[in-house]
Amino acid sequence: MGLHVRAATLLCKAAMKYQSTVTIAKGSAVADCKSCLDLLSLMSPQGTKLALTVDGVDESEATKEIVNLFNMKFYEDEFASAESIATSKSKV
Amino acid sequence: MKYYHGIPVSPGVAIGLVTVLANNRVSVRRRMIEPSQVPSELQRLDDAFERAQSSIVKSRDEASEQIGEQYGRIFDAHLMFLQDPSLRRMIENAITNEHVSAEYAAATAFDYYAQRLRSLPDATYAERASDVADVKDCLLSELTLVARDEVAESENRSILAASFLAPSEASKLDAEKTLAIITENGGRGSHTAIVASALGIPTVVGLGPFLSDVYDNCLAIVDGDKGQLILDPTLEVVEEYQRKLDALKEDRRRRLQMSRKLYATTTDGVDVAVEANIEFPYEAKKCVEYGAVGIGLYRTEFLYLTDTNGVLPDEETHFKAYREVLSTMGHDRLTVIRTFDLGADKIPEGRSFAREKEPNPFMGLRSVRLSLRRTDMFREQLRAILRASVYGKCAVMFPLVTTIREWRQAKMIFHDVCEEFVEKNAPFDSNIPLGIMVETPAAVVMLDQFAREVDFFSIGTNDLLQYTQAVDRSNKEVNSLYAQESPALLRLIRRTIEVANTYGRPTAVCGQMASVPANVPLLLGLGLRALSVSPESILETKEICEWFSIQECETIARQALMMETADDVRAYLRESLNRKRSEVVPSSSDAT
Repeated sequence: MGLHVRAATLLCKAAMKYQSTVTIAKGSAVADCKSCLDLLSLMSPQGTKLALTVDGVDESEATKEIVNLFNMKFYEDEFASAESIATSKSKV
Repeated sequence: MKYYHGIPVSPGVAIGLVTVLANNRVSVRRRMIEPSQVPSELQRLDDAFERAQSSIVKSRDEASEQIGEQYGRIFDAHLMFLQDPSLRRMIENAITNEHVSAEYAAATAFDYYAQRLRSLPDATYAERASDVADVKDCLLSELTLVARDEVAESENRSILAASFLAPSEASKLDAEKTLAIITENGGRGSHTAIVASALGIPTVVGLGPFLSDVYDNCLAIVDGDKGQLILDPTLEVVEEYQRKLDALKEDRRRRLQMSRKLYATTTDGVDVAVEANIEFPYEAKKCVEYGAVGIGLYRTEFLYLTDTNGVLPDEETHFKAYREVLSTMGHDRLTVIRTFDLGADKIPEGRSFAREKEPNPFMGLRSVRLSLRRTDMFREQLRAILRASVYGKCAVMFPLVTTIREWRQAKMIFHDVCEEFVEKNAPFDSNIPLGIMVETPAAVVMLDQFAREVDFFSIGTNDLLQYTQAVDRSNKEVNSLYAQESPALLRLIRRTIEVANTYGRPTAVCGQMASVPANVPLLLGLGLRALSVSPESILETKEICEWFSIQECETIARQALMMETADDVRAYLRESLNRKRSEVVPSSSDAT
């Protein structure tokens, strides 16, 4: 499983802490990370490539925390998505 | 200006402003707002979100405290969805750009996400979808709460627009405040139709989707004679209808003149009894005013459907209603009380009537079947009728009798209750005639057996037609088959009268069919001498009876019986009536 309910919730809560716009794209589908509903609807099976975009004044801190979430496999191995690598493409 | 065509179910014309009834129990309909209303609609949405949030927080705290924190956390998910920025954007965009109501915008957005979650191949997402639905309900109830208050507050008379009116809602209608009723769904025999014509409110149902073009307080004309709705009419059209309204008033005055004579007499001297169908006790006064010979059908179910607060009406409530009707009608005008015709689409609210949902309620435990099952309710009603029977002349009629056994059981219970009165030495009329409604093909086919035991018959054309054509009258897909002029129905009516006459049993027609002016000569021609119609139709029905001779009516009936389709019959009957009308009332060039 990729973005499981729990993972989506954590991701959403993390994104909410920052002013920056945080989006995750799966192919052409883009989800606002602050919208749990968007994230859930984007459900991606394990191994899907997701592209993370963070844009705003606190983008570097936000990117760090969110990438960390992915790397920590959302603190729970069973939900981890070993291959879905978040690639930060901070825009300025 | 935009025209819509629907089914006319209660005559009359109204010009006025529309109030859209936000109906929470049915799915939220697409309702438009005016561009200028966008800011206030957004504000309304914002307020509703705030109230919804505090209500969820409150539920969460209560749940945590009372049943444990893990239950409280369920509401955290609800809060998260309620605060979801994408969802909120979607709702606001719909209001701002598409000019739809906050209710519709919110319902659409929530449904969109719930649907997406449900389509994902994992059960955990489906659970979240039901959370989304819960949050939707919470927000919508906050939104419609305000909307409903607004309707209640509006002092002006308005045209009520809704997708559908449930019988319990219809019976709460306020005739003083309602100019006309327009609904998207519903058919000729629907209960909205019955109540509306009882209250004399012009009504058109089955208009199809029109609510998307309506906004609160837009100008509309409802033509309950033609079954037409005109939105945003031009000034010329308004003036044209204003003239029509004036002409209708004039007609009324003319007919009231002749209402002093009780029986209508055909040109060859045959008396026809025009009786009334009523729901509410206060209608009895109108029946007397319009010169009804009696009440051919007093429907009692509305005692169970109006403001009961979930409690079934007690004997005293029944008694007071019957006493009011019988004292108004007196001993010279017969009142036929039909015992409760509940079930099908008429289900009282509340626990005292709780029962399993039936998959096919129109074929289910309804009418006399229910009376024989719930003998407690049945006896209570019969006791009230007997107590009231000293105030006026009444008869009792059982609905939807299909077997002789049901009739005998119902009769036995009636006599049993009479025995109680004799034992208590309580006053009651010991000569109350007992009859049955003829409203199933089974009753018609077996009528000779009934005729040996039953005092009188009344043909309920609405149900008889529904069961004969096997058609759900409120289903828009098939209700074209529900035509009052169905040749099959005509043959059943003819047979009923033939058998009833053989046994000398008086027979009336009390269905909607008799209230259609063009059907009057047909029914007389089929042999009927008693027609029970809505109070609003009494004057016109009497007038039409006086235009024809029985011989002419018999010719019309013979022709109609030979026709193949309901459309042919309807066209022929209209033409016959119009020809007669132009002979008798030369000024009526505008024949309908």
